[in-house]
Parts: sequence; structure tokens; C-alpha cells
Amino acid sequence: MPILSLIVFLPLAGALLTLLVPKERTGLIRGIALLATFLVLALSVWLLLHFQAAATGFQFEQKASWIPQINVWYHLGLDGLSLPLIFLTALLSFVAAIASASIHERLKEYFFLYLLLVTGMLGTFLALDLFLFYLFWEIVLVPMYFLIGIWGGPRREYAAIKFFLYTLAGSVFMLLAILTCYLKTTPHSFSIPGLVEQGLNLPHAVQWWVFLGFFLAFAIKVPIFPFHTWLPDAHVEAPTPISVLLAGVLLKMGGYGFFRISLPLLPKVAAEFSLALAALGLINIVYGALVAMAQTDFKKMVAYSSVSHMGFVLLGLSALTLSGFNGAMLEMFNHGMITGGMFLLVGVLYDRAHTRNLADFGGLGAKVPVYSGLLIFFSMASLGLPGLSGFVGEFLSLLGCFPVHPVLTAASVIGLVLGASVFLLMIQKVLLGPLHPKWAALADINRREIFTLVPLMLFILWVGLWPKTIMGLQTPALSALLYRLGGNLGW
Amino acid sequence: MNSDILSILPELILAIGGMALLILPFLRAGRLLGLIALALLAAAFDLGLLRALGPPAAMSLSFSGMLIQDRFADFFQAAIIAAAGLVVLSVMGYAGGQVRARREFYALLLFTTAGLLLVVRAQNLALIYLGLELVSILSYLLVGFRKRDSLSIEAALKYFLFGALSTGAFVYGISLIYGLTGSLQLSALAALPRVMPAAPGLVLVSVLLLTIGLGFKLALVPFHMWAPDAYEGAPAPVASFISLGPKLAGFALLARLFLVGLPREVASWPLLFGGIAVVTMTLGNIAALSQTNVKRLLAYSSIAHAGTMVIGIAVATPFGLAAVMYYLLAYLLMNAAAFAGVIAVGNASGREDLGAFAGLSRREPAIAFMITVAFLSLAGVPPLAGFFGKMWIFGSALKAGAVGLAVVAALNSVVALFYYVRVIKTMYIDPAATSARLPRSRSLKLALALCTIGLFLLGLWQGPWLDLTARSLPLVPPPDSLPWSQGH
Repeated sequence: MPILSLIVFLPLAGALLTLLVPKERTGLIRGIALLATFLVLALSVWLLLHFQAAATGFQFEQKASWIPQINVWYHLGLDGLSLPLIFLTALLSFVAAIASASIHERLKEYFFLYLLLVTGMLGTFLALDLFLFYLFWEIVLVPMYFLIGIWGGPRREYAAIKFFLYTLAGSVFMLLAILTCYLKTTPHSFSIPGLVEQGLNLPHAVQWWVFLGFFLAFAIKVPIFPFHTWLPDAHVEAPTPISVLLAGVLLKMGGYGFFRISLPLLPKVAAEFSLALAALGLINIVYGALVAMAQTDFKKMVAYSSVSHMGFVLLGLSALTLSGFNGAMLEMFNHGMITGGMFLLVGVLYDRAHTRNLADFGGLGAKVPVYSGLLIFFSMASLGLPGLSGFVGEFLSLLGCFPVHPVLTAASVIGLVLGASVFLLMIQKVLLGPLHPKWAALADINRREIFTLVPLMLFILWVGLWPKTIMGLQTPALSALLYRLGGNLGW
Repeated sequence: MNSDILSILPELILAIGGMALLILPFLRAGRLLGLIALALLAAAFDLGLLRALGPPAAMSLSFSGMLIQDRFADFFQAAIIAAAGLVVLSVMGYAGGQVRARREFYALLLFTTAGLLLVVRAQNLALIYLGLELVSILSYLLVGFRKRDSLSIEAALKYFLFGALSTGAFVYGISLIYGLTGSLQLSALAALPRVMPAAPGLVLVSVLLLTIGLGFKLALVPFHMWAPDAYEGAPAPVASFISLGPKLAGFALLARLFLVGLPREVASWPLLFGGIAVVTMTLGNIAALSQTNVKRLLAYSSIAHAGTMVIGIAVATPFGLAAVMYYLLAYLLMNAAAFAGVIAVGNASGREDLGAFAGLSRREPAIAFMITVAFLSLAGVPPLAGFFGKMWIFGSALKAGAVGLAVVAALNSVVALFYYVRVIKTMYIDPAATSARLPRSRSLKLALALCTIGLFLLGLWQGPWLDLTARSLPLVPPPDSLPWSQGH
């Protein structure tokens, strides 16, 4: 069964189907979107169950000649690097589709673009041909532009075009890097495993340029300081479900790019770049947390805390040790679940209060107890409370990086303290203190909203207590990658 | 029949058909005129096709070596006729300026097309000059067709003055080359290196003059000043036509004169074109940023696109030329679609500024979607054809070691995204000023739909088109010079 193609193109089929439905039949359109994303989720669960963790190489692989003249293949494959992210994408797409109940305007266009976005994200994580990878990578941009631009907040147009321009600026340099790889191999090839196997026969200086080309694209997506300035605008202006996907999935495309392309394709440069990457990670962690602390807008605070969290991914990546890699991958998975949940919670509050100004709240803890409980749970996960998943990823990243860059790692630990203060201060401002009379009629979180959060909570708790569920899937693939890089397998 | 006459049958069909349109008394109805023009173009297209499918002999000369018919000419002729066909479809749906029902208009279009067909196969500098003059003079008439509209007249005058200057420069260049080599055949250009030691200054000047002449036709910076005014003042279908036909023919000429004809060392023209490419792209894109009239915006955008394509000429490799040819196919479809969109919107409001596009997605979702596809392709978003055109141009620059050109082009495509997306934003995000639907026009919708399908097809099903460009190169490329010849 062509299960990977099915996963990638089911949402697209759903998108085309919504075009055929008259726009007044909003229930049917919602139904199609929910069904498509649910089927994707079901298929990804099936993949989780049938994935052979111990096997090396790609599984469920699909390969067909697409444009033989230029040696382009339609090539999809799944391994331990992509599986957790596929599951994350599938789960968040389903959850965010439910959360899209808060969208009422131009629903047909919304779900068409939404499903197109899902196809792009899933395709990016599964493509094994650089040509195909680039296509999916870029296809994500267009629906995202519209989703922010049409359904976003007051500064949506600015945020949308900024997002589009920033990410395109990154990807054109990736395109040049891809073309260089393609043209300098004989026979010309876009195949990621093929190029990795063959090794790039390029002078060292050119390898650096190629690395930087990829780096720019991935750095903007992650985002790495100083390329992060699109993120707060885009995340804040986007409607809640889209913020969830932006933070939960789109940022991971950058991290995944490092694992899938930069490191295996250019191992030497990657090793030389390690120190710089760790330094950037440190900056992300500390700077992101400090800026988050200064925010008065709830959503912007969560957005900047993402910058901080993604710093741990960079730190783990830079280590070139197994613990570091495991930490980075795990942090991506966990950040998707946790921050996705945080954005949902921000949305819940905003839908009721129509403000996100932290200073306006206070004392909500007694007024909306269920909401408060959930908010505290996600905040604790986000600040890295042991027992919840956020802790495991951050701890492993630090652990893996310590032997390689001890000073930078030690400095990064400050980020944990800062991260904790970000979320504790937020809890204090929102939940504690006297209740403002304005919120006397505030309704607690409803059942649908709880339903979107529960699966995320389960995974946060599960991975926090038994991280081996995810690590078991990714460790063999990461070991193989590390072996190729000549990194420290023992640590 | 004489084989010489046979060889210019497509041009003859268009010329004679155009004259018939002018004199036959019963042709009044606009629809019918358009259909006849389409039929004539189809006939010319089929004849070209017949020839392309015919004997495997790749080329033949006629009129004592004045005209050549090779795969290269076939490619450009087919593209020019396709462009003219799309323009006729847009004319049929164009409500402004009483153009639609005027038989002279269709006749002029057909004559111009015949001139363009001649230009791409001329092997003699004097004939090239004549063909260019024919095309230019007819284009001035087309641009000034709305003779009571002062903007249209101004545009025509400006176009005429600049055009006259450029053909003057071109003919001067030709005369110098004749003086230097004693021949007007294109093959004489190959003799220039031999006379170079004796008269280096004259050789340089003659090459520069040829460059100026073609630079005007292609609206390359710094010879681009006429384009924005001409596009803005001309009736929209004419703007569409002068953004397509002369560009196609101009690039064919650039290839024949420089890539094939002129050895690289003469006046180091690849360097010259590299510089022209950089300033043309950059200036075109930056000027487009602040435009509010969509026709003007498209004028600057086509300047920028021409600049990008010149990279393919500047690298002076078969790969570069093949990339230009693929790019031109994409450019043809996306520009024709963009102008068809301008016409559709202009029909309703009589306006061609950005504001007229406001909220179009809610009034006409299908048309807005097709215009969006065209603009996304112009911006270079995959998987549309415009992206792959850019990608292959970048690739040819990288392969030739011109990394700087590739990087400048890449940065330019980011700048370009901004103004293309602004049009899309206006259609989808801005509130509609009116909820009225656009006047129905089946021919416009057909043109838009053909272009939209073509843009997806050229992008996702690239193989045959890449093969076509490889087959149509004027010289047989050395093995492995094109990425897409490796499998053959």
C-alpha cells in the first residue's frame, strides 16, 4: 500500500474536495477537513505501530521516476528522523482543525489552504529527493501567507508578507545550494540518500558556501537569532490554529533540515560549524527567554519562549553526540506538543476576553479553575519540570553538549532559570492576585477545547515519564547519522 | 510551387489573411474577426508544426541563404504564434477603446506576427533590420490605436522616438560590420576577431551599437525608458502583445547574433551582458515596488524578467540558452495570463490600477485564482513554470561559474515577490469596493484557463519541454552540457 503517498496527498484530496462544495455548506466543509486530518492521524498511528525501529535505512519507501530527463524522482521514505515529526504534524493538524471552530469567515478558502498547508508540511518531512523536498518546502509558504493574511489579527498583512519574504529569502539560497550539489555530481542527482552515499566532490570552500546556503534557509525557519524577527509577528497575528501549526510544525522543518540534509551531506563543515551553532543556541536560549520575560502580550511571550526552546535544539545539534542529537530531536517533538498547547490556551483566553495583555488579567485561578489547571500543566511542561516531556529534551541536549562545549553549555543552563521565571511570572499575572471585576462573567474552558488539549497532555506526560517511546524510534537513525559524521557515539 | 515560396508559407498566410481582413466587406462582427484571426494563426502554427515533424533534416536555407528554417526557428515561431493567439483571445474579451470590432486592429496584429516570424529566421543583417522595422512600425500603430486617447498617443510617440533611435543605432552597427567584413550574412560576424587587431575600436563600437539596438527592443536597462509609458498608454491587449512577441523574437536574435554568431572574445560581450543583466533585474524590480498601475507594474516586471533571462545569454553556454528558452515559454504563459487578468478587471471598472483588483476573490473566485497562479508564477513560486525558469537560469549561471550573477538574481527574486504578492493581497485581503461581478467574457476565461493549465503542466510535467529546448538549440550542444541531456 502506498501509505506515505496516501498520508501526503490525503489532505490535498480533501482540499480539492472542499472546492467542489458550495461555500454555504460550512458543516460539510468542516467535516471534510476533520475527516482528512483524522485519516492522516490514523495512518500515522498505523506507521508508529508498524515501524521497525531497529531496521536501518528507509521504510515504506516509494520511488518512481518523475522527470527522467533531469533525474528527478518522486521519492518518499520514512525513518527514525521523520517518524516522530510525521506523528507530531498529523496530531497537531487534527487538533488545530478542531480548534478551527473559532474561524467563521470564508471557511471554504480557509480549509482549502489549511489542507494544502498540511500536505506541504507532511511532504517536507517525507521527501527524499531534494527537488521534491524544495517543492514541498515552498508550497508551505503560500497557504501560510494567506492564512495569516486573511484570518489574522490587526497587523496581519504586515506579518504575512514579512513571513513570506523572510522565508523565501532563505529558500532561494537553499535553491542555489541544491543546484550546486546537483550540478557538481555525475550523473546529476537530487537524491538525498544518493548524494549522502556518494559524498559531495566539492572543494572545501565551496562546501562551506553550500552549507551556508542550506543554513540560511533552515536558520530562518528555526528561527536562529538574528533571523528570528519574523516569528513574533507571524505567531502573534496568525489565528490560533495556525499559530499552533507555525510553532508546532513549521519551526521543526528547519531543525529537520539540519538533520536530514546539512549534517549528512556536509559532515566536515558541520563539524567545523559546531562551535558557532552552539553559540547561536546559547544566544537563542538566553535572548529568547529574556525577551519573552519583557513581553506584555501573552501570545508574544509564548512566541519568544519558542525562540528560547529552539535554542536547545541547536545546542543538541551542535554537540554531535548521541545524547545531544536525541535531545534535539526530542525537544522538537516536545516543543511541538507543549507550545502547540500553549497557543491553544492563549486562544481560549483571547476568544473570551478579547485581549492578550498580561497586565489586564489577574486572579483568574479561582474564576476558571479548569483552564487554570491546564495552563499550569502546560507552563510546567514548558519550563522543564522533571516528569514532563520538556525536561527530558532540554536535559539531554545539555547533557550531550556538555563534553563538547562545556562553557557554552554551562551558560545555557541560565536559560532554564530564565525560562522558569518567564512562565511563573505569567502564571502570577494571569492566575494569581485579585480578580479584576471585568472578568466576573468569564466562562471556563469548554469541552471541545479540553478535547483538543487532552491528547497533547497525554503525550507530554507519557514522554516525560517514558521518553524511550520516542527515543527508541529515533536512536538507530541518529546513531547511523552520527557514525557517518564520526561523532561521539558513546556519549 | 517554388520551394522558396513554400518556405515562407506561414508568414504569407498571416500577411494575406490580414489583408483580406482589411478589404473583405462582409466582416463586421467582432467575434467573427477574432475567430478568423485565430484560424489564420492556427493555420500558420500547423504549417510550422508540419515542417517540424517533416523531414529530419534539421535545417534548410531559402532565398539564397537569407532565411533559415531550423528547429530553433520552429521553436520561436511556435511560441510567437501561441502568444499572438492568446493576445487575440484577450482582444476578443477587451471592452475598452472600441478595439474589439476593428478589422484594422486584427490585421495589424497579424502583420506584426508575420514580421516577428520573419525576424527569428533571418540569416542576413539587412533582413533582420527590415524585419525589426516592420515589427516596430506596426507596434507604434498598435500602441497608438486609441487615437483620441492622449495617453495612448503619448505612449506611441515615446515608443516611436526611442524605437527610431534604436533602429538607427542598429543599422549603423550593421553598416560598420559590413565595412569591416564585407558581408551582411550572420556568418560574417565570425570574421570579426580577424579584423579586430586592425580596428579594435570599430569592432567594439559596432558590437555596442548592435547591443543598443536589441537592448531597446528587449527593454533592457539602460534602454528601457519607453516600456512603462508604452505599456500604460497602450490598450491592454497591445501591452500584452508587445511584452511577448518582441521579447521572444529579441531573445532569438540575441542568440543568433551573439551566442551563435559572435565569438566570445569580441568586445568580451558575455561580460557586457552580465552587467546589463544585473542592472536590468535590479532596476526593474526596484522600480516595480512602488507602482500602483498594474500595467506599469507589469512593464517593470517584464523588464526584470528580461534581465534575468539575459543571464542565460551572458553565460554563453548551451545550458544558458536552453534555460532562456524554457523561461520564455513560462514567461509567455504567465504574462499573457496577467494581462488577461488586467483586461478582465479593466472591463468592469475601466480602471487598471491596483485598487480595481480589491476584493476580486469574493466577486470572481475563479478569475482571481487564475490571476493568482499567474502572479505566483511570475514571483517564482514552485511548482509553477516561472519558478523552474528561474531555477534553470540560476543553474546555468552556477554551472558556468558565474556565482555572483546567480546570487544577484536570487536576491532579486525575493524583492520581486513583494510587489507580485501585493496584487494577490489586494485581491484576497482588501475589502471589495463593489460586489458586482465582472462582465462575462468566455474568451478571456479561456485564455486565462489555458495559461493556468500550461503553467502547472510546464512545471510538474517538465520532461517533454526540457527535451524540446534541447532539441531546438541552434547548434548541437556538446554531450553533457545540459543537465537534461544526460539520459540520452
